[in-house]
Amino acid sequence: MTEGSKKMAEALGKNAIEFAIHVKGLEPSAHDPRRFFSQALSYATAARGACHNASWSHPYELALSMPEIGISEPQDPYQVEGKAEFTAKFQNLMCVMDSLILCRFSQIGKAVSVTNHVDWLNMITDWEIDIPEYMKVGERLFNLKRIYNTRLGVSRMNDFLPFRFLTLNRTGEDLTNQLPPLGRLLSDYYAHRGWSEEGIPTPEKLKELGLDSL
Amino acid sequence: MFGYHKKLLRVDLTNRKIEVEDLDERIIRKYFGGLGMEVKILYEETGPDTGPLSPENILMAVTGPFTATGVPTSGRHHLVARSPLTGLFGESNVGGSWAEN
Repeated sequence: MTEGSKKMAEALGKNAIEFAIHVKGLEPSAHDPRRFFSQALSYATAARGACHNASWSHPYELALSMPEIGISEPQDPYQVEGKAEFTAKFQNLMCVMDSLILCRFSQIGKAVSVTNHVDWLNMITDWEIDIPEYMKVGERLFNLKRIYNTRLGVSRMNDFLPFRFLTLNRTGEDLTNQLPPLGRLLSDYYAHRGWSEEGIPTPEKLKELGLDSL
Repeated sequence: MFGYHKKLLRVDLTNRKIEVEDLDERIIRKYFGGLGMEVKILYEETGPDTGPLSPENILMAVTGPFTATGVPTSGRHHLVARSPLTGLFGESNVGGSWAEN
């Protein structure tokens, strides 16, 4: 049990694997992917597994906005169209925030924005970075984590959600019950990311990000 | 370049050796710090055969350009290694005064 749900389910055998709630061996926290489709997509694709901090996008499906990166208002959590771009954008932002090393909660109440990050970074370093270049660093890092994992054999078949999230409705009163259409979300996402249908970053994408040579 | 000391401390636990390495400005500009530095080093210096709990796996703790400044919520450091839980990329963004001290 101390080795996690995945290994425990494998050890129990039979159909235990259908009941184990994890992605790539990491269990999710409280953020239900049936309530936030960006988290459904991010749980499935994040390098670490079902980690809500990989995108921290759910507040932008409820109340927050970030106009300087094209999110002028919260996106409908159940909207499928455009969810790939929305999710990828926040995954990239979280990567660059993990490089400056900021807390996710700095975004609460729209307290600290991307404009602040870039201004402060330029002030401290004497660089002249703009928001597109800043976001590009995030995209570079997300892709580098991805190819670390694809080198270990990860591909589309590992970008999966626990069976129960895809087949069972939430229970309780006044809930909007929609299950995330993972196949459609993933196909849109790979196309947006410049990855193959199997979830592998293309050589062209890696070259664009300067990852053909580190 | 301000905001960086451009130093990396390498601790080799197997051979009980400590070494200070200089960081290239081009690399800093490309990866910034924290996660960026760590994922680059993990990708380059370990391979698919490097087991999570093997002596060859690298556990990194890295600061960033906002460390020890007045930037809100910057009292943090970032950790990376191949994860023993998933066998894949592992990371953690950690709060506290450790990075500053």
